[in-house]
Amino acid sequence: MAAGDAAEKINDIVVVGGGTAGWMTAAGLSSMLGPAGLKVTLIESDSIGVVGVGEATLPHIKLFNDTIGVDEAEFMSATSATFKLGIEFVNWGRKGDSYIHPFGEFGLANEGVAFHQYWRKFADLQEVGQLEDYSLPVIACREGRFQPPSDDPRSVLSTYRYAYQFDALQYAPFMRSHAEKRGVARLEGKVVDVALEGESGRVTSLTLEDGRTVDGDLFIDCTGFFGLLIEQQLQAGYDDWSEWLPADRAVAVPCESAGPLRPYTRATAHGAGWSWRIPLQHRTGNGHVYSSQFLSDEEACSTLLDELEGNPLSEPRQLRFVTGKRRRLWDRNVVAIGLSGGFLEPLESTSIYLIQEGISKLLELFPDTHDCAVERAEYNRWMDLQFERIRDFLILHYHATERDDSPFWNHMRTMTPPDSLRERMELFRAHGHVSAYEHGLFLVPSWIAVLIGQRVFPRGYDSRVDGIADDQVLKHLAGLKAHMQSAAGSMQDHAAYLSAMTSLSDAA
Amino acid sequence: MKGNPIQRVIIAGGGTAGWMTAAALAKLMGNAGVSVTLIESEAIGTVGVGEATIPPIAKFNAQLGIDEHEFVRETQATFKLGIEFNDWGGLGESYFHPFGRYGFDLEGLDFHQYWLRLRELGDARELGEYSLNTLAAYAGKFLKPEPDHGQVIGQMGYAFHFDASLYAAFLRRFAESKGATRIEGKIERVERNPESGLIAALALDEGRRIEGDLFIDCTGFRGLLIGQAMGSDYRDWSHWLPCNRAVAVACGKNGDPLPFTRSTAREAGWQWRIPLQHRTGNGHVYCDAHLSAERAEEILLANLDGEAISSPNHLRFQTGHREQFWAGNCVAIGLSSGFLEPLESTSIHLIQMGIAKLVALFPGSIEAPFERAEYNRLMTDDFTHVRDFLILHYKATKRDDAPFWDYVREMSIPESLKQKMDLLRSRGRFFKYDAELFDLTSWLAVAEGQGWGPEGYSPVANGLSASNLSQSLANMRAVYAKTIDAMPTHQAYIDRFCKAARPARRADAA
Amino acid sequence: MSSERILVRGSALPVALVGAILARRWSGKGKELVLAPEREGANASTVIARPDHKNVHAELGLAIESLAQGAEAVPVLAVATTCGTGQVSLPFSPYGMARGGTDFHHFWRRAIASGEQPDLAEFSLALRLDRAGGRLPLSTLAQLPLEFGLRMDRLRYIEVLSKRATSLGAFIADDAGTDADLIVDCRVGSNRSGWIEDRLLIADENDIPGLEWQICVNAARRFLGLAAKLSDSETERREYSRLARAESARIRDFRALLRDPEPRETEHASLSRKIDLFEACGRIPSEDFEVFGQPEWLAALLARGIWPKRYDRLADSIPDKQLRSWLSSMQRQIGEITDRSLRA
Repeated sequence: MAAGDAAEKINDIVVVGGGTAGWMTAAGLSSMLGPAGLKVTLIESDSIGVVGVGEATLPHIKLFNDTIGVDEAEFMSATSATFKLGIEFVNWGRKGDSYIHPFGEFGLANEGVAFHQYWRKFADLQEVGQLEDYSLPVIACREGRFQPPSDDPRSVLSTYRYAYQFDALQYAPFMRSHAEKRGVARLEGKVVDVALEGESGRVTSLTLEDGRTVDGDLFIDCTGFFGLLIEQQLQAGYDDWSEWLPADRAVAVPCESAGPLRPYTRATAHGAGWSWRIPLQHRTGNGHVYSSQFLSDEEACSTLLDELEGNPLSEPRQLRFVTGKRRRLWDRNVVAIGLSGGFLEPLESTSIYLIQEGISKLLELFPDTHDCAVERAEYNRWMDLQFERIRDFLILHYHATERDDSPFWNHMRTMTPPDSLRERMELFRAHGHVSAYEHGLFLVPSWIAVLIGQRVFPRGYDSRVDGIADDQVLKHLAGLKAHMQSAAGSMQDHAAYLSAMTSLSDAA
Repeated sequence: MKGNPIQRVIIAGGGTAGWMTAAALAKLMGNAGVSVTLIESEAIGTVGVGEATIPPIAKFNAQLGIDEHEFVRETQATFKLGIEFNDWGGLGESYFHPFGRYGFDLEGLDFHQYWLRLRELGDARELGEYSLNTLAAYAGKFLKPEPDHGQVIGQMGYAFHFDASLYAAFLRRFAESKGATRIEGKIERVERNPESGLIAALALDEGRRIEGDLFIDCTGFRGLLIGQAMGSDYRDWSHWLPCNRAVAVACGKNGDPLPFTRSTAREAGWQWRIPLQHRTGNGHVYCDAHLSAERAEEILLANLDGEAISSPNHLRFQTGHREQFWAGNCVAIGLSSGFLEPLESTSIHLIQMGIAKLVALFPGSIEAPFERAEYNRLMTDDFTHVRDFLILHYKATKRDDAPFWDYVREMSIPESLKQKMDLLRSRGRFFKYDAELFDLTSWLAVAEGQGWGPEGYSPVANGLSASNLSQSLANMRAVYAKTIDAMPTHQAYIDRFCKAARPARRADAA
Repeated sequence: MSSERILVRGSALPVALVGAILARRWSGKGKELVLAPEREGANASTVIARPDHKNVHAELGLAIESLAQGAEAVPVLAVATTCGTGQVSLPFSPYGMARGGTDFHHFWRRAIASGEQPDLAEFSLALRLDRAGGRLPLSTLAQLPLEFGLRMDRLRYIEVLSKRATSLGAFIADDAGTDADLIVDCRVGSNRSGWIEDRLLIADENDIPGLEWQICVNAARRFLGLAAKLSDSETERREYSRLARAESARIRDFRALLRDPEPRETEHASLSRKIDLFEACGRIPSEDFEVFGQPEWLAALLARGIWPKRYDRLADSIPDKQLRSWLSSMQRQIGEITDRSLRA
């Protein structure tokens, strides 16, 4: 038996479930472990739908693509992708507010003091303007511009990073072609039975509808919310976070594109949730995430349809979920990657990132044999940390608000946030300092963007700002502001850049 | 054989030239054991009007360690992004001579070549739409560029408009703080050594006598030392630049100060408008062969945009320069060395050049024939280059509405200028001579603005496709527009950083 | 508004170091910095700055050449210290070369698994050079891919730092009293640290070379990273203390690994995690705010007899033969560089 003996070497990896998580995992594992002699098999059934909507990502995905050898232009053509420089948040702090959380920095640090401290001191002066006037990626978003960042660290054009917005339904097949090139075997079929070994409780094999059995040493559960192995079989348990993040449903619909091709995702807050708008090359992905406790499905659907910018291209689809995380993401010899591992609403486009992080941490700790309790514990600790830090950041969006126009917002505004988040907000509110951590997704500039964007205004500022003459600071601010404008103005039009790039790749 | 080292520099005359010289020498030579003494008389008024400058003045300020904002505050100054010329090429025409370059070079070729090509393809946009300075000037915006503000804002060139008498007072404070000595008195006689012919001392009223090693003549048009004592001849250029009189008057300001000088051509000369923080300086430069002083004053007063707040001040001059700027141990700086009408705001610059060259060639001993010869050659070149550029304004015109304009349009011009104009005309090419002050941008601005612009373009400009080119230029316009939007207004900039303490005269401040 | 006054007092070196770093950023209008150094006992004649010295000294405008002159600075590639099983050399740079994102020691472990007996230290350029004992000129060092610290004459370094601090606007006083809005107490050697009311305590045992220096640097930076009006900094004080505690825990773990009779029996999860995971698969998990680098942890773990049971699966990605030739050529190259550096 493949998994019978704990000392047996782990060589066969079985990924259950296609879709984004499954094929990313298969592609990632096969490209790194294939050369080390491991075998990767993926089982998927065409009859099981994929939860694939317009997918927005974070800059880290570039690293993943590079690792598995994806050509950017080819990838973008294949997935109808657009570039993304940030996320616009509309109506969050107050109705009518808009801010952008950019993939980049604000201003330039001066004398070791964070830029926003200088801005804060003079924020009351009209000429000084908004913090976002000093962020190149924000200005580029607002103007629909894009070009890859410069390599020259002295150039202001090096102060941002970028990600993509793509069609998840096209992304999975694209990943599949990569995975298959790396030797991943794909089995078509539905898993109807799972064999567990008595003593250890490990999964030893899967039986498909047609009677075939698939043996494996390590199983990756990419079966989505259902958690075919991790929950249905191993009952790894689930930490429910809906106390803090009560949205539990979404309705999604693509529509025709309208207007300029925007290099950013938009998240608009509504009475009991928020809606996304993800611009792709050929259409726009839309969805409304809401709490069924506060809003009916019909109302949610009509809110979504009302704000579409173009004609809907399909019937709206309903999704249900519980925000939270699998208690043990890696249990026995099953690792849950993707929705089977947990769900955090896509407010900050973290779904793909969490898949990616799951893959790379698994690779780092990839077990030799079944005797791997230590690796497993470390994997779970690490992923828990990632989930929790993202969770705090998401809660911030709901909690840092002045909205009192619906029971939902009253609930969010007045709830008790996790201590870790409360302390962060207090620290920022005092003098604008952001508590740092090393191992978390969202770094200082992201926290600043959302805190300031949602009106958490520091009471005071870093007192060292007073060490520089006001005149000098104001002169620097004025110049920087104009510099940002001219630099953004020098960037190319997003649609034009994209079409030049993809037409080049088609010609090649 | 080494002669006597120079230890005592005597500057005859205050005013802008005198105090600029005193400030620079005290700062730069003070530590080298050179004493600087300036003699001026309150009784002799200085020709202090609203003065406009060009960007190299920043270098002078920097060398002396003068804080620009302080200087602006103290002299009621405003910032200057260029000069607007009205009615020069033809009546009703207008163009802008910007202090910053046009566009961005593409593929190593000057921007304007692409602009010329696009124009040939039917694009009617003016050159000024690609000039940050021009756009900012007309939008009333200003921002001082700093090194870390990128190449777009880095294109912004600027100079100042200031009150000349406040400037002299400001420099006097500076010079005195650096150890320069001021002596109040009227120079009655220049004492020369009968053997060497060198100036030995200046005799003042009340029997005082000031000895020195090197004498700087800053006595203005009179040229008390250089002309009257040393007998340096004057080279007359009035056949090319026939204006020989001016009348100046200050008027109240009308709205926020514009960040540029305005020059409007009149029937026999032209009128300047120089905005300061507290008022506006105006003047009318004309040729007395074609216009009477009364008529000139009338034209000036009829064309003010505020109420006159001083009585008109009439001046005479002769365009040209001393054959020898430096004769014996006397160096002429300022109006004593020559005069070129302030059409391109070069007066202060020529003073600055005189000072810079004197410092660079500062002689080890009183007898310095080689340094002297070199100084005279360089200054003659400077004057000649500026002269040619000024003549261009008169020559490149279609105006035929007055005898004055008929004369200047038809006059023969120096060969050096003719070559430049022809080269520019054919395919927009321009080559700078040695240390020439005005560069391609300036020549192009004036030539194009007065209808003498290039007729063809460099074939290298065909290297980019028309659509590509048109896109690149559209991007540039967008970048400029965004940048201008983000800049503060000129008045807001002044208010924030360098507003003069009170809108009053402070010429006598200690 | 009266100015805010910070008084830094305690042993001369910490006071000078913390003082200089603070002076760089705590100066100008409304800021006052007074240093009150005490005479140091004559027990230590040198001080070691960890590789972070590059950043610290660059910010202070102290060129390494001038430290060589002014404080007799010489590069240090590894530091020796005692551990439960004798002596251990802790290198500042990684062993060998990583390959395809996988750390070198996994390949080394794989070679052992296939029956060879390579000595990991042989693959550390830092340790080889350190052991050879030659003095590397700075110019040579700059060309090598090595992290290095500095060993300096303690008194002269104090002098250099004090001069820098005063030129940046700090005052040095013999008896500055206690009249200050904040008193920074530098008592490296005692064991309380944190920011409580108007006292900022910088303290830890100084029993690992370079630790004293790094603690002072981190404390000064941490304070500056949270600078606010001193009278209104309750929240910042809490955050400072939280970060200081995290740092102390990292140091405590490292020390326990070095010195505890049975480090495996530690009660601290963060250390047992490191030991267990390293033993299981050769990885050393890092926490937020580590003080010691991966190569130092690796050296300490191995010195305490904690060995990885296996190597990383990703180290299997090259065939045996290729692995052997890669290892031997690396070893040769390191030998050559060592010889050449010593001759230079």
